[in-house]
Formats: sequence, structure tokens, C-alpha cells
Amino acid sequence: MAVQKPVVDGDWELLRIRLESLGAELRTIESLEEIRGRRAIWDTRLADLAIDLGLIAAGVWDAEVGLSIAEFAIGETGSVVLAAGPESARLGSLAPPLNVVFVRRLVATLEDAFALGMPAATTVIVTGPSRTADIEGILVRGVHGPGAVWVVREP
Amino acid sequence: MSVPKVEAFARALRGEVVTSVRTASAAKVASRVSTLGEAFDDIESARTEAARIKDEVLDRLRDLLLEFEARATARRIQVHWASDAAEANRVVLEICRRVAEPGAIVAKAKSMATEEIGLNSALEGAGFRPIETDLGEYVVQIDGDHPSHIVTPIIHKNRVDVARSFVREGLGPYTEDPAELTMQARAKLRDVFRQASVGVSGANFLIAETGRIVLVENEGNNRFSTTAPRVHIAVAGIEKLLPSERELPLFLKLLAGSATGQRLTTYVHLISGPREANDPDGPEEVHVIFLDNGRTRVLEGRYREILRCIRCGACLNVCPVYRQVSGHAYRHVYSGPIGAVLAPALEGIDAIGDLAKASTLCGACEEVCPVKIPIPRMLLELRDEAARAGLGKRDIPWKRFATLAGSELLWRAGLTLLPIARKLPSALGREWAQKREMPMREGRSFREWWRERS
Amino acid sequence: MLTCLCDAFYGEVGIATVEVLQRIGCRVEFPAEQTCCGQPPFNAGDWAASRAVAERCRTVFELDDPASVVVTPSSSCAAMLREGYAMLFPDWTLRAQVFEFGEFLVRHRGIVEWPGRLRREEPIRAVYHRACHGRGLHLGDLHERLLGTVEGIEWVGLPQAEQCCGFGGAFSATHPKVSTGIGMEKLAQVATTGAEMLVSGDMGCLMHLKGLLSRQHSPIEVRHFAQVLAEAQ
Repeated sequence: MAVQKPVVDGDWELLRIRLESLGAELRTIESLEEIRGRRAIWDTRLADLAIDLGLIAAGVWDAEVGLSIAEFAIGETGSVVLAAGPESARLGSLAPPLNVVFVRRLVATLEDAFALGMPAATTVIVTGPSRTADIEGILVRGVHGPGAVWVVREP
Repeated sequence: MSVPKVEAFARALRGEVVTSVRTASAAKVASRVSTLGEAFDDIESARTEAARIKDEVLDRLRDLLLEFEARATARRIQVHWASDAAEANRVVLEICRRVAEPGAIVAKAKSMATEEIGLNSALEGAGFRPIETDLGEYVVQIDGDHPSHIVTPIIHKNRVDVARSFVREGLGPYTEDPAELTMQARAKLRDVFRQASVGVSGANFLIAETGRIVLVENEGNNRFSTTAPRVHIAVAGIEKLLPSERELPLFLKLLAGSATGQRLTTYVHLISGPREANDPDGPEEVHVIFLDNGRTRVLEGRYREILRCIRCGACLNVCPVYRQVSGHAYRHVYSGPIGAVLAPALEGIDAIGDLAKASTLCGACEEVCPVKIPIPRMLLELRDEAARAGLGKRDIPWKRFATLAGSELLWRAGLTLLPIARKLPSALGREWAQKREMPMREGRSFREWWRERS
Repeated sequence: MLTCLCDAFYGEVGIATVEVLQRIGCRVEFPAEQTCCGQPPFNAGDWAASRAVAERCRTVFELDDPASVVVTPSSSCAAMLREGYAMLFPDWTLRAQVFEFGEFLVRHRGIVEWPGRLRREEPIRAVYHRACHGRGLHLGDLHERLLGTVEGIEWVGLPQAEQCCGFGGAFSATHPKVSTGIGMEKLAQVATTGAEMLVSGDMGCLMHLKGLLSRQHSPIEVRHFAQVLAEAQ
């Protein structure tokens, strides 16, 4: 039986660089003032924050912002791992033009992420904003999913 | 001499298509190299490992399929088996008729398997409205066209082509800005996602150990199509299995790097089954349709390794012939080097075996293949098979060549006559000399030089 | 092994190959009864015709003899002997040592520098085109590195170096539009470098590119790898 390599924690600075190169951002909680009063859909575990920010509860198709909680983030690829569950609508991280993702744990690589274990529920690994290069290979963000992804480190 | 079909396509192709294809292909070749170089310490051993895993899958395919079926069924994913295109379409239609009203919208996520079985026309024939939701595939659909590339379906079109199509379809005012065009499509397809009763996708990987469906994409239409409608159907070739999720990091990185020069595609979707009782959204039913459609036969034959393919399209991007002729010249959903082997392997060489000859055998495809498929070797074997089956015209009398090369005397006589022969009218010579000077003897003859000095 | 093309058209390449081999102290033999390795019919799918030619080649070059060393100034002929014959004769094993010319110099003889200078007044700007059959032989940038040590040449990198020249043997005549299209693309890349000389290790590629260049009345000089080494004194 092979010994499992221990999961290595990631470097938040590398995550920030990766996110930026993808056209996403690593944000502070304070900077969320920008979305104050917007129509939003959120993970029910973020209800207190939503109230603090004066967000207006909206449906999946009308929300301007979706607030999600990631299981963990992956530094090497600049990804966040979102699992489906009763607290959050799957489309809440997809339909609104801006997806704000809260994350506490960061692992180093994609291999570490799978070694740590992907959630058993339906899961999506999100790496940056929705994009296409179908027309002449020119990169366009926000084609069907969010054009903006903010990752917020939870204390 | 009759003109081979691929050559005929090339002669008829608009110059701007060649330019589009060449530019996009070259960009993708460059980004593939830099991304994979960063993603792997040793890309060579990563490719070797991926090839080994895929071979293991092919060796154990029956067991892995049954394992997947058992695990997926335990997750309430319904597994179906289709021996050919007609059967696969029938399964899809049965589900649609059961869960959707006549005329209902079926949201299509990009899938080569559903292209292969011609699902859209089957759905239309049954009165449903399939709508492609990948931007490129959507353009292909409204134009009544076919994808010319496995990954980038409209590589043969430019922004002006897309702009004209969108105006014609009433998507918005004329614009040549790719970002604005994209937003017009976004608005249009949002309604499709909201209204669709059924979403149909392919599958990039199916995990035997966990029974999960893995889908990768960049746009998000795939997530929408598999999440918003009540029913999700995934159509997948039987070779799409992986033993476990432990193999996923390797394959996800190889696929993203090889296909689009990304470390990882924007969305990697691990689908575990229909929504749970308390989930706010997600499909109520999830189906997997395993498609054979000739694959079992390929598995038992000479071209078995072609089933390692993970549909990254890297071989198309690097192929000098593909760049000159574009995807439609291959006359099959699978184009480029992979198509030149897979199409005749699936359909039979008598149908489309001519593709094997439309290659310089340069080997760039094998060099970039993430699962090391020996495409040039297979092209040679296809040529041999076609020749033995008496297919294809003999452009060159090789038997006579062999006689000539079988005797030093005849060979040397032939060489002496060459300067004269090249002046004689011949079909091959004419073709050669359209744009190139015929070769001529330059400098001394080696044989004379050698004879004189010894 | 001379190769068909050098036998028919490019004797100077064969002569240069022998001169270089002799300069490094090799005893060179030329079996005059040699003809073709059988690759043209092999690539065309006529393996029966190819086998007949290949069997003769096996005898002429004593390919069953481990003591036999075969050197050829063409990666395509070397690849045929090493890889093609394995497909033609699955039960047969190549025992002789078969080398592409540059591979022989660098890997077999350990030559990593070529002392000498091109006899030109001005340094010449040159690009190297890697022949595709070098892939199967894993030749990599072996030729470029050795050529890089020759004085009097300014080497410039060829963009999209992985791209084929478009020759492909019989393909060049059966698919002339595609073949010349690829060749023109290669020459467009050569043009971006401003090179005055185009060098490669295979006369198949060079014959095709030369044919295109001379139709365009291009002043670019076309030279085989062996000719450059032979010229450098």
C-alpha cells in the first residue's frame, strides 16, 4: 500500500497572481462595500453578511451578484471548489455577472486538491471568469457565466 | 489523374479561411507548449503515464463499464447502452417524450458524441427544438454548417461571418466586435437555459470508481445545460472511462493545456447525480448513454490506440495539412489527424479511407498527442490496408518501381534517363511543376565521383 | 547509403557526406549495387512492392550483421530502415547500426564541435529546417547545435519550427495544392528571419522548397547539412 503524500497548503500570494492572470481578483471583505445594496443571491450561511451589506434578495436569473462558499481553493491553478448542497443554489455561482467566493483553506496543487478529496456532492472547480475564444481566437470574458470572479479569504 | 478529395477541398477553399485556421492554430500551438511546460516537470513522462492509463482502461473496459454502471446507478444516475447512433438517438427521444412537451427546447452543450450520432436532426425530426449553447456551436447551427474543429468549431469563420449571421437571426445590431457579438449570444441563450426542459451534454471523463460524470468547459453553457433543465442526458463513447478520480489531475491538466493552452479549463464539473431532496436546484433526472457505434470493433483491431483520444484537438492545431484544408475537407465530425484515423476506423476504409493519404506523415501530431497515439503509424497501416483491399487509384506504378530498384543495372539506367524523363509529359510531373521547378541534376554525379577516386 | 534523391539529382550531398566522414577518420564504403530503401512505395501503401525493394536493401547493407554501420544523409531513409522495416517485417530484427548522418557524428562519434569556417567574405545569415523524420529518431536540435559551432554563419531561429515543409514524398504530387501551400507557409517563416541560406538534413524537404524558391526567383541559397560541414575548413 503506497503512503499518501501529505496535502500541501498553498501560498495566498501565488493564488492572487494566478487569479489576476485569469482576470479574477483576490479581494478583502472590506472591499465588498462596492456591492452594497445590490440584488443578490447567496449561500444561506452568508445571511448575516448579506444583511450587513444591505443586499436585496433576488432569484438566480435576476441577481447581479452571487455569493458562494468554496470548500477550498487551489493555488497552482487559481481555482475555487464549489459543492452543491441545500445552502446554495448551483446556478447562484453561475448566472449572476459577478460571483463572490469565500474561501478559508488553500491547497497548493490540483493533485493536493484531489488528495484532500473532492466533495461527494456535485462539485464544480471554477478557474476564473467564464470565457470564450470562439471568434477569431480573441478572448472574451463573461460569455454565459460570470465575467467577474472575486475570491475573498475568510479569516 | 483524378484529384483526391482533400486536395479538391483545398483548391476550392477561400484564402481567408486558410488564414483564419492558420492564425488560430499557430497561436494554440504556441500556448500549448508554454502552458504544458509550466504545468509539468516532465511533460514526456506525463504523456507516457496518460497513455498507460488509457491503455489500461481499454484493456479493462468491460469491467470498468460495469463498475461505472453499478456506482452511477447507486447515485440515481440512469445508465443506458446504445450499440449505434440510431439506438442512442432513440433513448434520447424516449426520455424527451416522457419529460417534455412537443416542441420543447433541448439545450445542447458542446459534444462530439452527439455530433457523431446526428442527434440534432433526430430531435428536430421528432418535433423538439435542440439549440446549441456553446457560442461556436450556436453559430454553426444557425448557419446550417458543421464544426470544422473538435474544440473550436468555427475556426473557419471570422468575425464578419459571425456578425452577418447574428444580424440575420435578429440577435442585435451589426457589430464586428467579438465582445459585443458574444454578449448578443449570451442574451439570446440565457432564455434557452431558462426555458429548456432537457439538457444534453457529452462527457469528458466517466469515473468507474465513483460513478461520476466529469465535464470540462470554459463558457458556462455546459453547466447551465446540465443544471437548469429538469433532465440532464450525457452521451458518451464507451472509451471515456477513467478508473478513479486519482487520475483526474493528470488528465485535466493535459487536456486543458493541449486543447486551449490553459492550466485548467474554467469549469470542471463533477456530476454526482440528480439533485438531493433539499437542494434548491439541479436536475431531477440524470442519464448516461454509453455509445458503442463501432468502438468495440476498433478496440479489437489494428487501430485500438486511437481510442485513447481525449478530444483535445492538439493534433489538428499542429497539422500542416489541416491548416491548409480546414476541417470540412475531412467530411466527418472528427477531422484532422485524429479524424483521418478515427473516421475510417469507425466507418470503414472503403467509406473514407482516402483521408489516410492526405498526410505528409510529418509526425507532429504524435509529438503533441497527450496520450501518445501513434497516428503516423496508423496512417501507414490504413494505406496498406486500403492497397490490399484494392481501394484507391494507383497514382504511381510501384510494382514497376520495385522492378527498377531490384537491379543495379536497371536502376542506373533509370537514373541516366531521368534528365530526359523529366521533360516527358506526365500527370505527376505536371502537378509537381504547377508551382515548383522540377528538380535537376546539380553538380557532379556521386557514382562517377566515387568510381573515379577508387 | 546515398539515398535516391542524391543518386538522381544531388550527388554533391553524397560527396560532401563522404568527405566529412573521411575527415573524421572513417573508412567509407559505397556498395554500388544499392538502389532504394523502399520508402516511397511503403508510404504509398504498396507494402508488397516495398518489401521487394527493402529485402534487397537488407542484403546490400548487411542489415543482419551487428558489425555493419550504415550512415545516410537523410533522416527519412534512416527512419525507414529503423522503423519502417519493423512494420514491413514484424518477425525480422535490425542488427546493423543505422544512423542518420548528423546523428552518427554527434551521438556515435561524440563530435560536438565542428572546427572550421565557411569560406565566405561576409558571415551568412542562415536558418535550419528540421526534417520531420528526425522526430521518430529523436534527433531534436542535434544538427543545429553542431552547425552552431561552425564559424562564419549567423544562425537565426525559424519560427514554427515544428511545421513540416509539405513534401511528403508522393503526397507532393498527389496533393500539389496542399503540399505547395504548406511549403509556401514554411518559406514565409523563413522570410521573416531574413535568412540568406536555408539548411536542412534531408534532400526531400530541400528539393521541394528549392523548387518553390526557384520558381519565385529567390536568392536564398539551399544547402544540405553535410555540404555546410564539408565547406567549413
